[in-house]
Amino acid sequence: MTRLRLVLWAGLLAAPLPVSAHSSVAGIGHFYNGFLHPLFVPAHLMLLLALSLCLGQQNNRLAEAGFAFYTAGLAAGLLLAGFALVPGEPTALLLLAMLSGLLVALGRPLARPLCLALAVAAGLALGLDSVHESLSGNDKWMFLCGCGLGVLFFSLYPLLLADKAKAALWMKTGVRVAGSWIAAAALLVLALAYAGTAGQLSGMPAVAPESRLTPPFQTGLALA
Amino acid sequence: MKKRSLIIFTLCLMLVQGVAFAHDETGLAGGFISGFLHPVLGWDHVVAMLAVGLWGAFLGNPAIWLLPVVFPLVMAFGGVLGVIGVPLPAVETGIAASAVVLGLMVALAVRPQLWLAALIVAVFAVFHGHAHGTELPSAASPLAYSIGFVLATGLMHLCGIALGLTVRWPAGRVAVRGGGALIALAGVGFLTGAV
Repeated sequence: MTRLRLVLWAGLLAAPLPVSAHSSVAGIGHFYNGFLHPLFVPAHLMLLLALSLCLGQQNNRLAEAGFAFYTAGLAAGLLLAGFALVPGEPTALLLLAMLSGLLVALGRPLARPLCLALAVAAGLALGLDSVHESLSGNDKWMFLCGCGLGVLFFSLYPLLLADKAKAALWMKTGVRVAGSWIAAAALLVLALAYAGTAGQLSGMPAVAPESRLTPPFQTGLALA
Repeated sequence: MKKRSLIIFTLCLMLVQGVAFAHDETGLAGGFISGFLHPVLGWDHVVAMLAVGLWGAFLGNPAIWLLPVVFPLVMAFGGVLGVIGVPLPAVETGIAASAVVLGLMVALAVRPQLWLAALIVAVFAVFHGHAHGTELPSAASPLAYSIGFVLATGLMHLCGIALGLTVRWPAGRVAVRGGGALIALAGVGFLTGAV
């Protein structure tokens, strides 16, 4: 019988599986799902990164003012989304990501009005697109609160990184390269969206039929 | 007893079996992976990206740092042409020719004016981007696909730059120029269909 137990234990030990009790989404509640939401939606992540890098490249006073405008825009967007007053527009996210990415790639100081307008527009677009249709009542507001804090929290890292990157040429170039990658990816998907729209308008399939099965702005994970 | 142990052991293994991955990932992960692998698995793309990085090292500052910023944007422009269906003649020939031309530039350590170097690289970037762009509409998640392929291209480019930085040593210079010659040869192989 001891031998049997040994074989049993050996069999179980030889084939362990990863524990999946702590999924990044399942079972963590609406607040934390909202908090992680910007990380799981590529378009949000791209805009968040591009805008934060762009703010980080500016002088400290403009970066602070830009972050304040970004926060205000985000709060307004989340409130409008929460009360279902204005629908989110994924194209706007990508347009702003492309614009911010291009500005990061240029690596030049921005005019104050342009920087502040970009910050408030990015915040607004992120907020408006953060609502989850399947939620209502307190769950929805918990999700939106988490989203707002998550966006701000995850924006601080690239912002500080870009600020510190001013110290060395290779670091500044790294930030500019990241900006150009974001702009390039956003531009491609915008082109795909345009091609799809052009096809619908003309009645001709402008893109391959498969692409219409999946929206180009496919967002990330369903809520647990 | 031996047989019984074997049966129990087999049952144990059957109980703890893993998930079969008979099909590719779909959704975000599938889009990202297919986008990331598209340039990596195409040797014609790989050698051209490496050549751009290596050439940047010969060109020195500011080209070495300018190219990785400009290249993805020009490539995306080529991708846009592919996505919206603008035909570009002889795309595959252009991609193969990029390996020949860029490889020769590295092998011969050619140092043209910055604008001319940028123009040569940009022309070939359009061909590479067009090839990626035509694949984009059928991707599982086009956005994740775009991020994947831009990242992979950029990382290969940076890899070329890192290798190219060895030109500061005599042995590194020989190695980089030899690498350029190999890339040009590979390009001839792509052009003739031998590779």
